[in-house]
Amino acid sequence: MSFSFVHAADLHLDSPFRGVTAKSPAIAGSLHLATFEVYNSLIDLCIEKQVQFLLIAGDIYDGADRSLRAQLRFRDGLQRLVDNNIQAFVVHGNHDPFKGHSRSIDWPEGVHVFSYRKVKTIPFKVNNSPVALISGISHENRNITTNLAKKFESQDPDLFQIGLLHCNVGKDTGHEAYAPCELQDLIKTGLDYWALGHVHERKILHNDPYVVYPGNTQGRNIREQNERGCYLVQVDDNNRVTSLEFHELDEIRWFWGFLAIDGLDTLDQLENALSGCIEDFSKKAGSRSLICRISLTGQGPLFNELSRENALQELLEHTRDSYEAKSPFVWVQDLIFECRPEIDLKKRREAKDFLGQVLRISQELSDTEEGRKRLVEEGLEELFKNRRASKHLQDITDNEISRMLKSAELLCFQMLEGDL
Amino acid sequence: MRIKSIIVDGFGLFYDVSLEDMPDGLILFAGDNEAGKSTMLGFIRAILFGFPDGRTTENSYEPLRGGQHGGRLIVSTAARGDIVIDRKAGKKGGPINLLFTSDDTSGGEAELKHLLGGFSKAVYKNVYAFSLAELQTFDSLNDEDVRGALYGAGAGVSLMAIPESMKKLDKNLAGLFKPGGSKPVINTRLARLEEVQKELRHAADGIKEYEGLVDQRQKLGETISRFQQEGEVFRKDQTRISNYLKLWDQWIVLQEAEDKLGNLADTVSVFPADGLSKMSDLEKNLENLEKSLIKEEKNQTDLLRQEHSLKINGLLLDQESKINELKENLTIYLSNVDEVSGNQQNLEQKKGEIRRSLEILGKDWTEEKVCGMDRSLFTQNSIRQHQSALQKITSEQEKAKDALNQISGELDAARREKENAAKELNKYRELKDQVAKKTLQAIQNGRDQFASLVRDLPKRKKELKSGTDTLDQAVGEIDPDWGVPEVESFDCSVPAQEKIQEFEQKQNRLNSEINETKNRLEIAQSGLAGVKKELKEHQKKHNAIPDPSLKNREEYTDRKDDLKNLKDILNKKELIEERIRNQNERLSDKQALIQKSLSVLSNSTTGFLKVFSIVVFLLGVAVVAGLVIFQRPLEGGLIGGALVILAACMFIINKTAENRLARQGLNNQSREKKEIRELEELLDDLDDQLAGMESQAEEISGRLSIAGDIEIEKLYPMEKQLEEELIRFDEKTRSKEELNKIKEQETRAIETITQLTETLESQENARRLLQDKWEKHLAGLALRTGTNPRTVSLIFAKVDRIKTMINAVGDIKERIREMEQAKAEYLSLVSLVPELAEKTTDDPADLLSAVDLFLEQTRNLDKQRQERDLAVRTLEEKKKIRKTVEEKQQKAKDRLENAGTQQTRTAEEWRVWLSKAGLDPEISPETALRAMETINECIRLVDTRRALEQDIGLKQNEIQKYLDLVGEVFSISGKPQPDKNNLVSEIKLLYQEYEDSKTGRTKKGTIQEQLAGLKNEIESLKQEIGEKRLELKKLLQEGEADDEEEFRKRGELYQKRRDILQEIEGASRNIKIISGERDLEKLKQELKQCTREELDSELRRLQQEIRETDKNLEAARDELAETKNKLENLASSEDISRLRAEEEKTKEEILTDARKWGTNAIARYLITSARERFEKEHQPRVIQEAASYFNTFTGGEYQNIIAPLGKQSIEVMTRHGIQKRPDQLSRATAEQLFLALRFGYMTNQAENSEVPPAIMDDILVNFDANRSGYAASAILELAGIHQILFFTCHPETISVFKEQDKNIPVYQIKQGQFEEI
Repeated sequence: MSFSFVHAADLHLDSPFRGVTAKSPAIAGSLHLATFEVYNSLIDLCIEKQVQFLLIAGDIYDGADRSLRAQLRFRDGLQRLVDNNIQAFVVHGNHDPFKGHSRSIDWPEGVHVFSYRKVKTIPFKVNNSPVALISGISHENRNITTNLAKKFESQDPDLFQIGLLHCNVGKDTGHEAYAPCELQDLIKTGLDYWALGHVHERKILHNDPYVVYPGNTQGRNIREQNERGCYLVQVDDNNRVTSLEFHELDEIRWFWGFLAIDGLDTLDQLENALSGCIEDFSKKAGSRSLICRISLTGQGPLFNELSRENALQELLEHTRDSYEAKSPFVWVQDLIFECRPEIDLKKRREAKDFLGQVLRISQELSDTEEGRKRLVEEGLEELFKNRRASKHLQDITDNEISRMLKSAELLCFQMLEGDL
Repeated sequence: MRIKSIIVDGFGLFYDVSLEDMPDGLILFAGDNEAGKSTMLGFIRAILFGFPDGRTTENSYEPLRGGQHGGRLIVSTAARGDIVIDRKAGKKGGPINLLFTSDDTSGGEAELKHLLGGFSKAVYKNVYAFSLAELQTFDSLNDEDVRGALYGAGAGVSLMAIPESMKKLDKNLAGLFKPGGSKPVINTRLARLEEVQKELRHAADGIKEYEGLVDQRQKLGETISRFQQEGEVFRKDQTRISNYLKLWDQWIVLQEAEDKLGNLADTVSVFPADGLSKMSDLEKNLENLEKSLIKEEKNQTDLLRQEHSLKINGLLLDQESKINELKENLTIYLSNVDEVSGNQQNLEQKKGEIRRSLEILGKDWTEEKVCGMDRSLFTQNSIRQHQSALQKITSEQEKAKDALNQISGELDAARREKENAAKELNKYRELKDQVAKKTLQAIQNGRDQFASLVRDLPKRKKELKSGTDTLDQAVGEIDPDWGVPEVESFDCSVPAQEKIQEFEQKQNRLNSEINETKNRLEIAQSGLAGVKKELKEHQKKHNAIPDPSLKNREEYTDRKDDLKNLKDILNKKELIEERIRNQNERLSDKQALIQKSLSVLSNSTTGFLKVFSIVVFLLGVAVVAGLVIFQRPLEGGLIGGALVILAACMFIINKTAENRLARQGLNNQSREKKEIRELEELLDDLDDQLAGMESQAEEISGRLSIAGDIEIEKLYPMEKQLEEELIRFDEKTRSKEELNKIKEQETRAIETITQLTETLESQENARRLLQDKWEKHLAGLALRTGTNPRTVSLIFAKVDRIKTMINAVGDIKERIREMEQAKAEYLSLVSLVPELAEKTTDDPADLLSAVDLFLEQTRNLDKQRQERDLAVRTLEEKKKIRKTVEEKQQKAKDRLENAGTQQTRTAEEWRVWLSKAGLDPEISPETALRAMETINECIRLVDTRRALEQDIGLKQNEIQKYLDLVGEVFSISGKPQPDKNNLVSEIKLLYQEYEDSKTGRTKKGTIQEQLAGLKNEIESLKQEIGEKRLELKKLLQEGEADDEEEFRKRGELYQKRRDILQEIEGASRNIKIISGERDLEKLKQELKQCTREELDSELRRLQQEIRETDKNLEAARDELAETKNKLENLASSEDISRLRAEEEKTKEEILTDARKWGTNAIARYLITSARERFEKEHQPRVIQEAASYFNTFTGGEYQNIIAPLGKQSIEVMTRHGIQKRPDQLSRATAEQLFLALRFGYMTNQAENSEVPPAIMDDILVNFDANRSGYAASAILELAGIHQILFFTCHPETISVFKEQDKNIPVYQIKQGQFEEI
């Protein structure tokens, strides 16, 4: 018989947004509630579409220190499903390993949580006869490095078989290689649909059988832009997937835009351009709130004005003020200064004076890996190798160090020559 | 590159000026101050590098004399020939235009930059085109700054840029982060982050608490349910017992009723229902009926008697209407008789009154005249109008008379007053005229002043004398050589005093600073000694603490975690092993069971039967054989056959049973095998887990270096040892930190002492300098050397005071002069009065007396004159008043006359009216009014009399009619006519008789009707009595009684039994209702078992139990509510979310700050690296060249400049090999050093590219003659490779150059113009 289900993953309930320093109570409140609101929308969608079951492929919570509130809200959502005759199949991932669940929170009847001991197969029955088989396994702890996919096998080819797993397929996913496996490992099991979790960007890795990452349900940092949500899957009488429909669920959307200062003569013009940029984001976000970052690029008369100390911070605060009271909210997370001065840096670098020397050294440092390494070891050692501080600076990438180097060049310019 | 022409359109003083065909090499420009030399330097800088914009403080030299702000330079280059550089002031340095004359092409900023070989404006300003000011920038530079300046100069950036940049970067970095610091931004954030993470770890324990509370909630739920059940049981029992107690009375009733029933002797089972009451009713009815019969019969007799006694007069009854009329009109008749009599008396009285009224009016007046009189309202009104008019005019006459009398009085008084005033005026006829009023006034006004002048003048003169003496003395006190002029010229102004105060403050400040520095130095030295001692002691202590084996605290935490984990694993492992053992046992049991079932299968009864059948078979065969042997084959065949058949049957039975058991065994076996498989799977799983744990345990024990078997007992001593290690570790760490702190203290103390010593030295120097300045200042004030500022301040106060005294003496002198003048003026005034003129030469006191006497006389005269003037004014006034009063008197007289005339006219009009009215013309209106009243009264009396007469006639008629009717009635009734005097009683008697007859007739009718009714009633009663008697008889028969007595007895017995039964039924019903128990017998049995006391006691016990259960239940419920509340709080707690949000926020802030820090740190790294490299690459040449120039400038006095690599300073070496730092050089030598460094750089640079011309603005002023010469020669040498424009205002500088080369071109700059000399 035909049936439908929803496939979601990486809810990261009650997890904070990264890089947001908003102090406004309204924004902070929305951020606190965002993951819960999204989860509610997911449950609403299942009920509205009258699906037969919901699959959640791990990382329901953000950390092993998951809050009680999150666990109870999760349970309440599942209860809502069960009340509407919808079952739920859940595995835990690296962020919320199986062992962290509170024994005092009971799952409603009709919710199946897979343990970590071995792959278990649970039939989904209609009128007491099985229609689909759902196999799954949870992560035991945070650091599962074994290939869990290899533990799955086909049980009954006559039924629609689903594999529910939180894993890292392939090498370059941009995520930690927990429960690593290859696409072939999944395909050769003979299952019909792989409901995966872990990778936050949604992807359909394979069509027959389907190997699907729905992505996370809510973007939580500037790298997680674009729409976020879940897949609604329809299966026909012949156990064929007839449709795979993506549904947006996110409450707050992230944007990163670029604005060239070329041709802008006054700060007013720049402000207008920034407003235009933010308005574009607003249109794209629709009724959602948004958080954005804008990189200022290019060359222009405003370069000197913007390189003044605190100028960028003042501009940022001014821009934030303009959008402060907006609902849904608009939060400008930061303005990144990537403009270049109106001088010929190449020629300046060739000059034999002191500044020429500074620029040449800067280039040497940025050009080679050895140079960058030397810069971190010699120039940034005091903070970046400090025992207390270094562990919090892991997110500063090579690109950012290159950006700092560029900023430092400009700083040297300003200090040594007064202006540019 | 060299400048060929300078063309200025407008720039400062310069307007439309040009200087063309400038040669190569050195060109001198001479000019006085303000002639435009610096302006020209600014012009060349502006054309080459742009005009300064509004953001800098640099002078932009706006054109003062007109022209467009800007101009041109024509420069000559090796590569591109002549180029015109044209620039106007404007944004971003101003628009530029380049014209390459060699190929007629043009260019802009980029081409110019290329032309200038990458030199920045800063480099040009500091190295190539500089004035004395730039040269002297080095004045106060320290070593680090010199180094920066040196390489700054060499590096082509602003002199101060490198050191200042480094300072700024260091400051920025220190504000952001310091290893081990706590205040910088990143340190603060890190601390907060760690705090938040700690709180997070703590908040995560909420789950455990939640789980504990959930368990508690469940337990409490169970407890509550238990208490509820117990309570229910108690309550049920309580209800039961309470019911027993409630029904106890009924129970007693029931018991007693049952006893009574048992005790009843006779029983009457048949008795009519309600027999007794029925009989009683019947008896009562009969009695009543019989009574009624007797009563009715008596009534009948009475009525017959009444009928016979009635009397009736038929004649009277026939005249019913007339008799009634008589009765009704009797009262009217009597009242008419009374009224007639009363009215006749009244008539007589009225007639008398009419007569008296006519008499009052007069003889002529009759009833007819009176009735014919006009008494209308108009008549009366007319009388009143006349009366009012007469009264009014009389009153007017009275008023006019009064007014006239009053005015006559006033007139007399006015006349008298006028006479008095005339008399008064007469008194002053002899008064004479006075002296000129103005003079008199002046004499009087000046009198007191003159008197005080005469009194004060000698006093003032004495005051002047003493003031002058005091002044002379005070001046002498300051300095014997000083006089008033010195004091007056002494500058006492606030700035002058402030200057002294400033000196004093500076001295005081310096002294206190020096003292403070000395104190601090002393404290620092003693502190250092203390610290050193402490360090020594602590080092000893530190060394005494044994070194811990742990490297850091994390190692301890890791090991502790490992130990804990290992313990957990071992415990779990034990549990799993136990499970494995159990499962293995189960498995063995299962396997054994299978084995057993197999063996049972083979050794069962079927086996026995098999054997037995074989035995029987063999026995059969043996029997056959035996009997055959003993020759009895028939018996043998029969017995043997039977045995064989038996054996065969047994075999068949055995086989069937065997098959059944085999099937059963197989079934069991497969079930058991399945269970065994499951057990094996479970065991595999458990073994896997065990293996996992063992490997984990091995891994951890490996880390912990536990040798041999891993046993939990081994771990406890390890834990203890670890704790001890940690204590040692912490102790050692603390001690080390302490030691480091003390060492830091020591370093700081030494640094402090060095700093303080230096500070003290510089403070002493400052104090000496200040003293020199002070001595100079004293000389300027014409004060003696050695005077201290405090004394000078005192002198200031003194001088100030003396100046005040001088002013005061001057004031006194001036005052005396003014007084003398005033005295003279007064004397000349007095001399104008003839009787005083001769006294002016006398003693002023006599003159004053004369003046006073004269003034007194003058005042008296003046008073009399004033009085006379008053008398004149009074007389005039009184005259006016008399005239006014006379006019008023005339008016009053006129008024009186008018009133008289009017009165006569009005009286005449009245008399005419009276005549017309027929009244006496002499009467007054009042009398007329009274007559009118009497006439009215008389008419009213006549009317009354007439009415009375009419009424009497009518009444007499009515009386007669009534008497006629009486006569008629009496005669018809056959009665004699009544006497008039007894008329009323006779009529009443007659009427009574008539009434009696009428009543008798009515009564008779009624009695007859009653008698008929009674007869019927009596008949009916008799019949009813008969019926009742029959009924009674029947009832007795029913009750099986012969008479009423027997019936009653039987009835009572029957009723008693019924009552008891009812009582029993009622009690039983009540008991059922109260108890709710249906089975009464059972209940009765129960009740029989207990007593009331027992029940009471049981009830009390139950109540107590219930109370306790309720209390426990309530407590448990409270606890449950509290637990639920806590659970809800935990469930809704946002602590973790809040903390994680803060954690993320803080992390982001740290990242942002770290980026800022990184940018600054990289900038610092870049500058440091560039400087090192620059030093390495450039230093030797620059220094070498510079040293050569410095040698030249100093005439060989300084032979070398040394800038050792890696050292922070440069040093110079004298020809005697002594090394000095720049700050040890004199100002001029330092300037020569820095000029040499510039020249070194220029020379070095010139070899690399085309360089711009150098411009120097009077830089040799601090050089002595020799060194100026040397410098000039060096400049000339440099001019060999550079064009140099040299500006000066000193002719001697020109000479110095001219001495070296006579042909050096010299231009004079004067008022913005060039002139070649």
